Amino acid sequence: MTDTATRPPQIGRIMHFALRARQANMFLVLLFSLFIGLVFGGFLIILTTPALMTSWGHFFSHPGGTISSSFNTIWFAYEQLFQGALVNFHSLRLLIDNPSKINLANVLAPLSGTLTYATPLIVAGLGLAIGFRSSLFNIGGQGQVIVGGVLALLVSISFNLPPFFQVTLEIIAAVIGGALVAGLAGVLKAYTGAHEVIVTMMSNYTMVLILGYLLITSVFARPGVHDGASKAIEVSGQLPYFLSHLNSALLLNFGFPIAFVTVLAVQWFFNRSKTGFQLLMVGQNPDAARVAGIFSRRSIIICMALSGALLGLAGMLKITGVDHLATPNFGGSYGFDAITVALLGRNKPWGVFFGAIFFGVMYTGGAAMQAFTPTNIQFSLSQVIQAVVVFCVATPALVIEAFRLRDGASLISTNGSGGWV
Amino acid sequence: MATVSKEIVTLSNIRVVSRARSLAYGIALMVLGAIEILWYGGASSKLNTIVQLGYNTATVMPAVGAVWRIALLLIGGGITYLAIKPQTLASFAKAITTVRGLRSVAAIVGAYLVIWPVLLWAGVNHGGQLRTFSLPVATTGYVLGAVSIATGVLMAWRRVDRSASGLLYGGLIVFMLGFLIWVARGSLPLQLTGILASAVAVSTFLIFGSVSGTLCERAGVVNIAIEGQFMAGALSSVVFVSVFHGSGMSKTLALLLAGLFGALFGWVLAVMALRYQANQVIVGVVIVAFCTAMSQFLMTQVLDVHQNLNGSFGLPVWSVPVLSKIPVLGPVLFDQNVLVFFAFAVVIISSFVLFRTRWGLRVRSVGEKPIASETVGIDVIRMRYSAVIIGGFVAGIGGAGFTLGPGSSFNYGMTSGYGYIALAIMIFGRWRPYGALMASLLFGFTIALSANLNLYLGQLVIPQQFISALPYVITILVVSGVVGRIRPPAADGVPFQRN
Repeated sequence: MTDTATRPPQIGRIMHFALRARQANMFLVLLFSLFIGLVFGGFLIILTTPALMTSWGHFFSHPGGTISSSFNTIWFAYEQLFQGALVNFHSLRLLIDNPSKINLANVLAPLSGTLTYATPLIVAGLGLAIGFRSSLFNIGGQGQVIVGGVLALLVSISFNLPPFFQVTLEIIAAVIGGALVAGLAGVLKAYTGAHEVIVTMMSNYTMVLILGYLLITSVFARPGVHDGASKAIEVSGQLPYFLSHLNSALLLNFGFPIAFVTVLAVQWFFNRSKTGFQLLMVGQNPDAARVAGIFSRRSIIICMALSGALLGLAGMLKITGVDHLATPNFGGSYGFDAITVALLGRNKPWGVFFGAIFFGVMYTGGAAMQAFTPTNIQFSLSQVIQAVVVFCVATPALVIEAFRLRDGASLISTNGSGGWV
Repeated sequence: MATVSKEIVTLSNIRVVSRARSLAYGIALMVLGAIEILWYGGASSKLNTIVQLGYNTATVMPAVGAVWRIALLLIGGGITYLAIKPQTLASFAKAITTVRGLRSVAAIVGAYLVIWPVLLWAGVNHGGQLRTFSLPVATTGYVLGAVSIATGVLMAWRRVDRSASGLLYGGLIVFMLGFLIWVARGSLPLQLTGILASAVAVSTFLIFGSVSGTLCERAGVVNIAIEGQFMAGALSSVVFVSVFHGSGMSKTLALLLAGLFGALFGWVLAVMALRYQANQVIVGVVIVAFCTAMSQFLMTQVLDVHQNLNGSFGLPVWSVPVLSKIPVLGPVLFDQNVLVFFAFAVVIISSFVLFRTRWGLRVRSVGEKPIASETVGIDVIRMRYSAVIIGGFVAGIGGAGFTLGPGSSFNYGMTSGYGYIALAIMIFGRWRPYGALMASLLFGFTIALSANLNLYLGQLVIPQQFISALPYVITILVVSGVVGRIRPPAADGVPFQRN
């Protein structure tokens, strides 16, 4: 009698597997988040396509047709999104049938666009992840990207060195510039208690205005042209392209390996270095860190400066690798995208890496979707899907509860945000 | 005797800090005054500036006969004297206990009764309209600079602890006035009243946003999603009004709808922050990201195609019968669109509710020490839910102020970070609705100023971008402690876990 009472209930192998599959892990959460995002996007497509709405109005006269036409529209849109961002199966088929340089270039074109867009985002997301890891919320990505980009531009305009030294000097200038701007917010936070969210946010707007001013000064403006764009970066200051020997449209540049190395460096910084450990400690429990002899003021400033340095580097990668000149809306939404990338990657270096690539997919794929769908489903739909996915990933408790996953407690973080001061 | 650390709050420490601060402010004011004298006074000695006090002809006090002016002067002087006299406090104490601020109201009324006939005598009146008058730039620069320096000297010398802020703001306002007069030299008339009126109009949504932030943070939830709630309110209200072609009833309902959309996102924030205990700042930022993407999508996919869904309909302008005739202040405060009055009402109501009702007391206790509140039987989670949802409602109505307030159509990116500025204003106002009102007016003034200075670009030595950056730089200065060490609600942003 007692034997049966103490023994755990017998479960079969299939049941065991099912239970294992329901264990919440990041992969499942990501998968379900993507699912929720795509379903939400599908509803939006139905709601904003007039033909589908009229079809749903006569739902009961031809239910099958309504559902299939809705599904086809959504599927076609997502297909364009996928093919425009990752692999176009048609050109892959052509490559297999007839291997040639041009066909290879066609296959690689979507991926190249995605990675080109993702490159600065990887670095920017890493910069924000450093801040988040020690509970500092650096919203000033846009401003720091602008500073980095503008300083890189300044270097490339004022010096004329061999390419390697030119690019190195650009990197150094951008890193220092970003670190100074963010470090200022860190100093204010450490010594006056000014909340870094507001300071960095305001520095964004200030930097945008200063950029607008700089672009009309004689240092940056092209002589005689008043379109707000700056002088272009010379070839010696540009990051060289990888695959341009295949096709000149392949714009993947050497920023990508730089971003890759940065991922490894940040990984090392958090896992192996002393300062990284201190920052983590300050982020998780400032009181314990203080007792252990870690100066929280110093680590706040270091953390913000490092974060800003990476964002400045991101600005440099953007301007020397992609744009080659600055316009008044340079930097754009990079600061905010980087926040969401860091959230999506759960502040882990490799997570940020793939999160940024996901953003690149949504960006290039969204453009393809807008171009190729018959009703021109707008590019911003991909941004909506992206926002929903990030929302679900940032609050995994929602997904875990909605899909009845088990043991999700480890994924739900309640630490962080300790108010304003 | 052990030395008391500077970190510990003691009376002497506070005094030392505030004295040091007033010294610093005094020196800063003196520098500003010197700049004013050297730059404004010295730069252009021959030019005049035309100052327009009249804003529009209909809203100016009518002229009165010369005899009656003496009576007004006497009555006004009497009221002012009674209000300012220290003994009044004792004699009117019983009457004043019920209506707070009666004394200052009496002082203001009295001052107006004095100023009005004086203005009329000064020849400013011309056919019932406040005439423009021209000031010599150089002399004005010297005079106002001297006033600024005197204020600075007073602050630095006396190290006045308590009245420091009043002197500081006075000195800054004088400096700004000198700046404006200098900027508008020999050019278009300076529309002083117009600038002030647009400042109040601009500060409407800042008031709503900062009051919303105050409500949420008093309950201990950081609402960084105000920007998103603004967008939701702006978009939903304009679409709703456009569907009904801007009929009167639909505008009222649109305000309600905007509030409901704001409340919806407040609810989302509350669920995430209270039920799932997610990081409130992260949830807020993600909500803003969602609202940004969503409004962009709806804008490009729907509103650009169906332009009739994105019309421009303004709320009616209401000029209060008598009060709008007061010179300068009348058109600024009492001749505005309805939402401005709503904003004032929201400030008064929320201040009353927070500090005078049981619900307010509970909300504040939940934001300060949730465990203690739980011990005495207050449902912490429920109080926080209600505060965040009501806060979202207020922010949503503020969002309608972007579109229905000035009567413009929805434009992607029109909120341009004012949701975050509202947060800074909330801090500046020290988590109090009246403080939020004052800070909003100040920020509204800088925003309206930077918009108005575009008219005088020729005279401006400083690039226009730097003027536009003014509100943002001021925000940074504000939050980094220019207004003194701030103390937020103790449990602000800390998730509550019931054990």
